[in-house]
Amino acid sequence: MLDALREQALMLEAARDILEMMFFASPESSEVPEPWPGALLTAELRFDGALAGGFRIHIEKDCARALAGNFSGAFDPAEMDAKATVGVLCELANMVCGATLSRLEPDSIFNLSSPQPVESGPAELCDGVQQWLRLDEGLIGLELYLETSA
Amino acid sequence: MAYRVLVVDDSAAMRAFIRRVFDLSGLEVETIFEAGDGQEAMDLLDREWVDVILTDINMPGMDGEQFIALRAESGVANMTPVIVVSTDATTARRERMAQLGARGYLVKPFAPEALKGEIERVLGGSNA
Repeated sequence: MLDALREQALMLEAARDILEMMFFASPESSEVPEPWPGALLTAELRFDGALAGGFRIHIEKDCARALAGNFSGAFDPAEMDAKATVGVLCELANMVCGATLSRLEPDSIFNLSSPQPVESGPAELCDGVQQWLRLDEGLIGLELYLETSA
Repeated sequence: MAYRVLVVDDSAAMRAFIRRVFDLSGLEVETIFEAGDGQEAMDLLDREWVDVILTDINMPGMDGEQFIALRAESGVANMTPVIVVSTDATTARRERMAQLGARGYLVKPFAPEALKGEIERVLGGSNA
């Protein structure tokens, strides 16, 4: 339980740092949404090293487009096409996962796969920890699943 | 002096972000080349001279470690400094990349000033 709380806290810290510095967004922590939001974009990656597992990020579509616009310097988020938005979502997944793992195991080395867009679904990584964040434009969900501990 | 820069990252979004950070940094830049992995970067470096290379670590194909190690084996590692740009903030990874020949390390997330500072530190001066 304590491990899960630590993982959740470090994942939240990593996500906040990244969203504030590179996406100019100030997220607030949020409860797990009920019901599961409908229009989500999801990206997933795997990692191995001192810890092995998976990471998944879900973002409501309008929120993803707004964040992609901030990251890319677009004056109008509507300029962001679907491919560019998914590309930024995948990069956000990569950054949050990498930063979380660096905080969890600062003396270890990890290898991360390239994030891929996947079909959204409620908490398929259900044995892991979840953290939800709220921005003005919508919700962001983070899931971290650790398979093994070396 | 305006820099010629190579950005090696499999994420087009991150390459575009780094371009924008250069715009905001005040650094004078002549050209920013882009490569999607280490092999693309090696191919480009056969044709083009650059002053500094920024590379990600985890990439499909030739990753950042392989890229830096291959440059060291080729005897060209000292000619153009490499700065690693990664979310991996672990001491172990920083030491490993330094041993392979990386001259700088920038952890994501980073501010434009941090990129400027690291490039000036690695290149030993200011062009702004």
